[in-house]
Amino acid sequence: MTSIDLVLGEFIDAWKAGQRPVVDEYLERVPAAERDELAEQLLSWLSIAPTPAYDEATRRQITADPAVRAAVQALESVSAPLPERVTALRIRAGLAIADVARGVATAFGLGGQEARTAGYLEQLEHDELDASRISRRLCNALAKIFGADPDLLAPPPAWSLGAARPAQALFRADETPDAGIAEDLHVLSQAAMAPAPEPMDELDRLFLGGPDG
Amino acid sequence: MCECQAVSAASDPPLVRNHEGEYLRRFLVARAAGDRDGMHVWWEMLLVDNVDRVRGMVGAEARGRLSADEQQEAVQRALIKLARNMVLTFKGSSMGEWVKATRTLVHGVCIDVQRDAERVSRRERSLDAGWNSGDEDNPGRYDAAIAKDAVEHQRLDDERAAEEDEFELGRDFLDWALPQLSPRLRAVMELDRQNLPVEEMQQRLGVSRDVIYAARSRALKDLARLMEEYPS
Repeated sequence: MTSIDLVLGEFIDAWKAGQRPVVDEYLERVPAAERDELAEQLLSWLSIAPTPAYDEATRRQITADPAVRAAVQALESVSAPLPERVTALRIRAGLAIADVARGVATAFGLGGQEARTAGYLEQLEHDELDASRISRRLCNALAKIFGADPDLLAPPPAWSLGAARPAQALFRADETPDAGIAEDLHVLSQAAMAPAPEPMDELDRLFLGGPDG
Repeated sequence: MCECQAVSAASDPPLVRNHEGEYLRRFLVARAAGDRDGMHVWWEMLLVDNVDRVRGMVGAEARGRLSADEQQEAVQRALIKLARNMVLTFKGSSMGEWVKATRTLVHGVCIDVQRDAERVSRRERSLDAGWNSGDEDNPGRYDAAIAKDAVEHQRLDDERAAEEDEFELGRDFLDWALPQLSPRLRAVMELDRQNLPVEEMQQRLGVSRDVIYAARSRALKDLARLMEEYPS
């Protein structure tokens, strides 16, 4: 049996007993020339090792670790809906909505439109806008203003938007469709004569134009 | 002959006290239902259960190339990425895939931390070298910042693509690899994965501790080789 076999064996025994062995301490026990090989062996073990059944005191110790607490906070920020994330990051950055509006207006060359921008931001934070229509450019700019990682404001993946709705059922008409069709044609003709909405400007596209807007 | 060969997969108690597998399963169920709170709870359980694994992987990857502070930084970054990125990008369905993705992530983080440390060290050296020497090998501060940003974006894209490739693996590596080990090595690995103390393994297998240690070492080498051959 080699010294690597012995040290590796003792590391695995300590791991399984829930003693939380520290890799560096075991690497130091073999000659420098053998450390790479032992490190590879330890990586192989850690890639398949079962997690020990930690007791309550150990779990408390793990969860009190500042590194773990920071990771849990990061997880909380990701799983929240976009409006909550924006509000949380803005407050964390110590900014008022007006400050953020100024930052957005500056970032996109929209001088003079700070008030409209602030209005949109308020709607966003109050969940009055469709979050899936917020542009990626705006999310990146907000992240920069908040001094946060852009991933924190990335749009949620499709699976996080809830279960897919069932397809709409289609029914065959039981009676003569004449009256219904006439009514539809009337509505369509009214719509065709109505004036077209104003085209979106740059600010509208940021808040309403979709991820590529 | 030792009793190793009498230890077969069919007669064994279930492999691994698999509470993490249960956490992962519940996470996947919550994700399918769009249940954010459930996802959060079960991913956090997975994270806490695997802190020591991440720390150990960082230590083994570092191998003296990172200082204690840099290792701590790498552990922190890896845990944050696990919490913030992998919760969104993980496409696998087994703990084997989860751990493999974690190992890829830790490897990338250790490289990043080492590069950052080198960059800081270069910056400290270059404080008296002026802001902009104007040549290509020593670009100005803004050129360097722009180049760094582009490289970083490319790296993140590559990393994400690589992770996605990893997650496409459909089966758990060990289901595939363990049957390929010799019966003696397989027996030792299976008992190890059940978290049995070495004394109990000695009793069950009828061998000394030294034999178990040597078999572990050999089995892990074989598994490392098989991991490279693992079909994707």
